[in-house]
Amino acid sequence: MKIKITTKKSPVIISIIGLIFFLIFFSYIVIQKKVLAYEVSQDTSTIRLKIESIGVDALVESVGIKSSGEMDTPKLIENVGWFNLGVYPGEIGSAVMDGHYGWRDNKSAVFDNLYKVKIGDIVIIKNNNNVITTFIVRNIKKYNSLENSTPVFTSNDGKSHLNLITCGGGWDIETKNYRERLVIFTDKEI
Amino acid sequence: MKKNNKKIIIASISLFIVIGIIGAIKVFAATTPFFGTTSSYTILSSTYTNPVSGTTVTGDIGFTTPPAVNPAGIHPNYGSGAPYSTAGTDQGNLLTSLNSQPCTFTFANGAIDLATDTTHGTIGVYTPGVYCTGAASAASIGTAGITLSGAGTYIFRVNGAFTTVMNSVVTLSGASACDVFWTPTEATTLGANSTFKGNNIDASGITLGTNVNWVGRALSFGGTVTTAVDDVLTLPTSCTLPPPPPNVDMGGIYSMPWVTPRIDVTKVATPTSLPIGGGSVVYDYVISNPGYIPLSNVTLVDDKCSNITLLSGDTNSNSKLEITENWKYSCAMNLSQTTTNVATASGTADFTTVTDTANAVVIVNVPTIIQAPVVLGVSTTTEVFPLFPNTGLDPDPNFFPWNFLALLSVIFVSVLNLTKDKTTKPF
Repeated sequence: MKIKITTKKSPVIISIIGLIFFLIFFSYIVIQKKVLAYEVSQDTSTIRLKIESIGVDALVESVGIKSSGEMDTPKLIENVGWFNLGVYPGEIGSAVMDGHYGWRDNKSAVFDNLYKVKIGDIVIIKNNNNVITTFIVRNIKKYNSLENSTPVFTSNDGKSHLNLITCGGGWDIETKNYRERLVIFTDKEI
Repeated sequence: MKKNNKKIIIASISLFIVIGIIGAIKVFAATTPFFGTTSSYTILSSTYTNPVSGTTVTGDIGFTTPPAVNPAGIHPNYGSGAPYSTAGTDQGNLLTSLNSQPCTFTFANGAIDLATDTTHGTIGVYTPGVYCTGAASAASIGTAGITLSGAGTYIFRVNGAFTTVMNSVVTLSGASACDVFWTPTEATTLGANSTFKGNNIDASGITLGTNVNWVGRALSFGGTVTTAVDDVLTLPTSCTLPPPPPNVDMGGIYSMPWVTPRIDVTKVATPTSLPIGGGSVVYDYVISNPGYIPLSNVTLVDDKCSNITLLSGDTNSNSKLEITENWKYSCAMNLSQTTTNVATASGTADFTTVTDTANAVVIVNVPTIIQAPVVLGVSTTTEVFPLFPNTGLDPDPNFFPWNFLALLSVIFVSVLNLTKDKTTKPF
């Protein structure tokens, strides 16, 4: 029976490993501080969006419209934004939420895996009073970023819908914009 | 005696003056005005609509919005190139001149069928003159048709819409299509299989049914001319077009406007619409000389685009814009917002400098917010539909995979250590 023993370079190796762990710890602290500092400055509600199939459990921010005409986006990449000029999820009509796609500060955005959602998946909204409204994914569609968005924001079938938007397609360096928008259409569970 | 003679002379002069004036009114006859550059146009419009093939047009066709199908026939000037814009001006002058001529016969108020009317004279027959409908009264040519009898000018001033019914015929008996004018104040519609003669000046629009045979001009600058299958439009031939009317200046000296230098410029932008953010656009200009004498010192200035280049046109290289020449220029620039450019062309002849301007609008699209009707069941709050959000995070320039690097480092050092600096020791 034999045992491995480090000899001459053991202190050096231990020092290097220690330094590496220090760097990992340091970078983690710095990132967390940045995120925390940003979070405390935001007025977040307690409304949450949950998509268990892709592990999303996010706070919902209220967003409006930008001067450029685009729907605004949530301030934090881990939150989703509810379009506050439309209906609220559960009301008759099409409620719309958007979320970021991609990575920042070593963190993935809330809808980075939205493309993995499948028809039939469950989307849940839990409001301030812990009332749960369930939606079922009915359709998944990609749009050009400049395409008419009316079908996403409107419906006239007298039912409740929740539509989720994020980016997709290739990154356009010139416009600093993804070329496509992925939209998940859901119907309120009856 | 002398006193009596004096009175007789004064009375005679007065009588001659009165008779002269009355006589001048009585002998008035309609006259064919100066056509100017409209003379070469069989169709002059802003929008020319011809949805199917089978239409034949002989003569120039002017428009800014082209037809889906180009008609057959010969039309040396086709589109909005010179002298299109000048022809539009001349059409206006032509109509003004026609409208200035007093009515020789006015129909009773109400819609009138020229084919069956008997109040003007022989049923279905018209002699030269200015025929006017009553106030807000349309006119039509019924199945029996009409005959224009005798040489001279015919002006049908219709204070309303003008129509011809299917299979109706306008027959010329000693008259010339060159001297027949129709000036409705509302739209003109020619029925299928009808045979029509004369110059229709109608900015409200001119629409032809199928298989219409028309010798004359459809002049609707600012309006729409619509032709259909099997229509045949022919420019009148052998017309004796009148010269331009003389102008009388303040000193009572006649000047001849047709020797006054003229210049015309057209400008076309390509494309006329750019996507959000803008892009490059090319302006093409054409300067022509619709006058009668060559122009020198020809210049072209654009208030937005500065790099104008002369492409071609001075065929005899004498630096003068001849009446047969079209000088073509081009200029390119980038636009980031909707822009209207004004090009100004100028030239000199006989110590007179003439100018003309042309505009071109290029629209740079901007994100739009659509006001939509209230969705079923939703409150009265107005819903606003925005553009898609930009939810994509750009690739993080500060991203560095520390965790991954750390893991790799640990594995690397461990493997290095175990393979090179290890010793074994038995228990």
